[in-house]
Amino acid sequence: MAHARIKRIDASRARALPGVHAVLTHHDIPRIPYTTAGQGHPEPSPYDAVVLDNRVRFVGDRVAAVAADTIEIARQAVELIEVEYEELPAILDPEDAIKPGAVLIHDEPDSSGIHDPSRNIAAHIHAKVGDPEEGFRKADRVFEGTYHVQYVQQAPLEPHVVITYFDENDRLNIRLSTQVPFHARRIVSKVTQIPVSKIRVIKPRIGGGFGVKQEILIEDICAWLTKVTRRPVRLEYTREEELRSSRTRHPQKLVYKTGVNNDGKLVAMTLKVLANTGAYGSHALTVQCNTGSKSLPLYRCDNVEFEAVVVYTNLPVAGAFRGYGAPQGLFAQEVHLDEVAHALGMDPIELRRKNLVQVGDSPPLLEELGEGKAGFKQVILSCEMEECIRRGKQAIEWDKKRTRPPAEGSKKRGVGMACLMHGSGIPGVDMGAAYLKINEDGSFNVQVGATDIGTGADTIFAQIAAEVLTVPVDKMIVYSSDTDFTPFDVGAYASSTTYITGVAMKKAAEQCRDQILTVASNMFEEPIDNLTLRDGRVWSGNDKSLTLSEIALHSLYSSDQFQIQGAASHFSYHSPPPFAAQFAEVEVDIETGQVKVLEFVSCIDCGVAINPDGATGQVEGGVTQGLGYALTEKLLFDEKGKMLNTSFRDYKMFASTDMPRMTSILVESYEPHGPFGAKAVAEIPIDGPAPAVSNAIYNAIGVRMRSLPFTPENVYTAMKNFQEQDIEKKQPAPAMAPR
Amino acid sequence: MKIDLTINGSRGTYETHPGTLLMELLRKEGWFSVKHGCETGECGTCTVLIDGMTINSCIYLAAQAHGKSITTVEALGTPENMHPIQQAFVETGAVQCGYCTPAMVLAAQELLSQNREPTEADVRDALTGQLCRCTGYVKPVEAVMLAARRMKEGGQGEEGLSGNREADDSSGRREAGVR
Amino acid sequence: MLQHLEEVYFPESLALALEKLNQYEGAAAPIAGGTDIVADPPPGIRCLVNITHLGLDYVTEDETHIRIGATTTMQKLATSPEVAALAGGILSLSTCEGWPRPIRNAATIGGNLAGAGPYADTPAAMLALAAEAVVVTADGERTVAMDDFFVDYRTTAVSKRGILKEIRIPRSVKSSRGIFLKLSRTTVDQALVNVGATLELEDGCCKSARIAVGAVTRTPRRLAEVEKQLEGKHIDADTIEEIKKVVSDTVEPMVDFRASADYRRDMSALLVGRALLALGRGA
Repeated sequence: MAHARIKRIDASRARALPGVHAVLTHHDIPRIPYTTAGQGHPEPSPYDAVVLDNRVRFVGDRVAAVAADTIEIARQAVELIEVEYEELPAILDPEDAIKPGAVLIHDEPDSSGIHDPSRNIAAHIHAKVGDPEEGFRKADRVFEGTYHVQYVQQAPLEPHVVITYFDENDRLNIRLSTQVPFHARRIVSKVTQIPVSKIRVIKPRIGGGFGVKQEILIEDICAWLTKVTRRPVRLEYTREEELRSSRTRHPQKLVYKTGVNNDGKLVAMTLKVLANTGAYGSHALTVQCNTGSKSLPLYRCDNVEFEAVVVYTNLPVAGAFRGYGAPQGLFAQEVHLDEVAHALGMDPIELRRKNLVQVGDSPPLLEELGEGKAGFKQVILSCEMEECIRRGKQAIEWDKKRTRPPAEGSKKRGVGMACLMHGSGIPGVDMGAAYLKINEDGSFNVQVGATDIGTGADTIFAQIAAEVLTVPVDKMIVYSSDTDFTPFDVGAYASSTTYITGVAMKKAAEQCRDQILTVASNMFEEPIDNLTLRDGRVWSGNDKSLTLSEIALHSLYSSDQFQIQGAASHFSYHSPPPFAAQFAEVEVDIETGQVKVLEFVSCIDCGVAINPDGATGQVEGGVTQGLGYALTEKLLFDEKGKMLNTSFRDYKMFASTDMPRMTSILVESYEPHGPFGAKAVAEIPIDGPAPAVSNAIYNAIGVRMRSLPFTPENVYTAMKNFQEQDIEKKQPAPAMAPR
Repeated sequence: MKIDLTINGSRGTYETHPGTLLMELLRKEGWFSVKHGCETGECGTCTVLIDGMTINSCIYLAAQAHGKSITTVEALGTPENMHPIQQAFVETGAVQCGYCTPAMVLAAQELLSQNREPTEADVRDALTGQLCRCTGYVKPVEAVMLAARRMKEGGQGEEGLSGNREADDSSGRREAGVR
Repeated sequence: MLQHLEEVYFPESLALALEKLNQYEGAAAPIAGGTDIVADPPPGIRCLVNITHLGLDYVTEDETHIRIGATTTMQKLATSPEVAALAGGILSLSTCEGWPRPIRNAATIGGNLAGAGPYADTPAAMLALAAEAVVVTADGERTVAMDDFFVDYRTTAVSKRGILKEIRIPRSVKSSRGIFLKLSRTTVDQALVNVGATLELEDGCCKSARIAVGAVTRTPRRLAEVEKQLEGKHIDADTIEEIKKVVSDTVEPMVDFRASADYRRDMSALLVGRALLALGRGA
């Protein structure tokens, strides 16, 4: 059942089973509304969840929790829980959610922060610059296209897992696969009513996240089980649970409209989105904000409007997924612009070039549209988009391949591209802190709250500190993500770790450097200005030097003893966008609809890459997930809302033999706000594969793919039903969704 | 039931439920490089070598391995003395979250013990059993190619390491962690 | 979940294996690679009889047949030169396309056939190769033609008390032209449609044809009407178009979330057409 009220639930037989330590139902836990979204306080997502409810809102929702000695006993106990449901109508199509008379998914009185629970609207966003209606009237030509993006899952190879236990000081320890240890502590505290001071969250090495672990997903229930049993509890998702009951990417319908002059100049752009957040509104507002703010500002345009209506349905819950709304918006935008270019008879790259944002620009929409609230003025200080395009065209041999005659036989080739922007952290929101201290041998302990989920963040911090202190990276002993022993950090999301916490690290290292020079100055009895730090030594002139070990020993044991240490925080009102151009070459089998990506080129301006191997690794991995989004990945449901493809047998991600030839080029710029000139790189590479592949398919076979994913059957069907669709509008269309 | 296994060179008899998966037994015995990822033999994070061949230990009963020799990545090398494949993974930046890495290293080991001069296509084929959500396979493929070159030059690989090497009993046993 | 499993039995002979299957009265099953039965066990299994060390791992040839032991792994078949030389390598292709190495290392030909999963690849090849299954029970040994082997969804002529021991392929097909084609969503995937085909040509005309499709209907099957129509025909573009139409008209595809019936029908016709094109080449 996708939607039902729990009329009666009786766990007495389950509790009586030997080996069962606890069974929790909604009768056993106080109702404390919260959001599972792992965001800063106060979270911009609606408080529409409770740990256990008297209602199920999608197939895969929580009903009860069992703690037992073994998994087998726990499974047996689950079978013994008697539940009587009153089935409610289920909404499986987001268009139905806002129809009058639709069943209400969140009519409980204690939820808060929902935009309009009486119409199943979790969040509503509207931002406007200039006068788009006037712009459409003035423009030589007006175009409108509708695009659809599907449900996909982050699918880290490690499913969610958590261990909770009380330590010898009676403090609740949570050892957890998470991207947000500090948010996890705060939110678990809230729902378990165990004070923050009594909770320690530890994130060990974990097996990927991609956004799905920016969620308080299972740690709350595990903590409750430990609280009532006083015993260690381990909770781990199966792959089926991970696919069905964790989080997904928001599916959307996007209506993109442009007013364009005959020379290709954009006069007005509007993007209207109907998004599906599933049964709960986790990240509903903020993801959809990014759909607009990470796409539209890429082009100069005086009249811009963005509107998103985010609705509840009785389907799995959407949440944070690498890209965070941008892949959806950029898919629509970059396919739409390809269509416009085609209609105008222009090269799609030239159309973009005519309109791209430039250094010195301050896109007004970024000021209007922040994350869940108004944004901050952003001035573009670094942008190498032109160079990204130039090098990408060259790498994929664009001009040659765009003009070649069509191949004989059933396999047709084509090339397509997309331009992209993203952000570096959430301006005015994200904060990270770092701590550093010297040891006797000249090594340093680095402590950061930042969360390395396989992204290489710990290495980046070691590099930054080592660079400032002129020592080898292996002198840095990095310890991260432990709420007792590391300073605060918002966690691994929003492409913020290097850009935000990296600066904190740099500041802390600089404090250490200054103290080292002070100690050395005392030891040398020379003014600091005469000293330099170089190759891990402090030099006076070119012949006298002290090692960091000698300085550390002196400061710790000899005179005026103190600990050489640095501690700093950083946050920023600037979120400099990384920019990118991505290019795909595809081969389409027109008899089967099978699309093979032959080559994929990414040219990314991420500022100065602090760790080029790590940065290209991010690009390669992001592209691969993006290709899955484009071609193979889609969660499927039956007519009752039950997920059909709950294993990797049928949720198809790219394997090593599916990969195209991949070229990833870092096009360097210097971003003055970032550490050593760095901007973000983690998310932008996932944004472009879907539009670039769609545009390449069009180039190959002349069929426009406006809905993801491009599976063989979808492409085959599109070819069969294809008629060149006239996207040109003579009259401006009404807004898609009523306010 | 009782089963006899040689795990990373150590022979032992294990008392286990007949339905116990090999993955479960190995993790219980402290071989944490063997990961749980999907329960259906699709993701490959549970890969181990049985008599030198990769097997998905999540769809393989411990009892099926009775009398056989099992190798996990703990037997291939140590942080101080890495196997050439491990060294190549480190040098090429082929590891991100690392969850699939032990499996990939074992798959590479199987390949290189049978084929000293693999093409890139051979390497890609050998890694089809190990999904990776982080790297896009670019650097792992590079790593295996690099290891192949070095092992050929160094005369290593042909005889393989199918559980014959005496495992340092302490090398693979880490503090009990989340997984 | 095999939580009700009481025993994994290692018989020293086939007779002891059969005895054990009888003893459990249907609650026991043979296990070889286990990739199917461990991942997705049939309900109520209390005993698994391990048959991997009964000497059933072989590919040999006698005067009349190529004989393949039931516990021969997919990897062994995929890399066997004898199998590669058989009817254009049809069986080799069906044992490796889309299957990752760890699965090929464990899964066996017997398991792939006796499991009778609707998306399996080797059945179409075996049907096209006119193979026979040798099934043993306590009552003795019998031979079942592949055409009669697949009874229904996950049901074969091997009873719950029997064991598939060997597959025999007549030597006469060795020199037939043969091909296996598979369409799937990714390179590591189950088939949306697979086709196994063998042809015997004489003077450029089809003397006899065996064409089977898998993953389309509930059980893999030969396309009798297609085979009949092909007889005596010259394999040219016109014949292929004609045959594709026959496939479309006669195949009754199932529907699941992987593909619609229409797509499976069109692709069955397409793949049969492509198979014929490849097999007729140079004739």
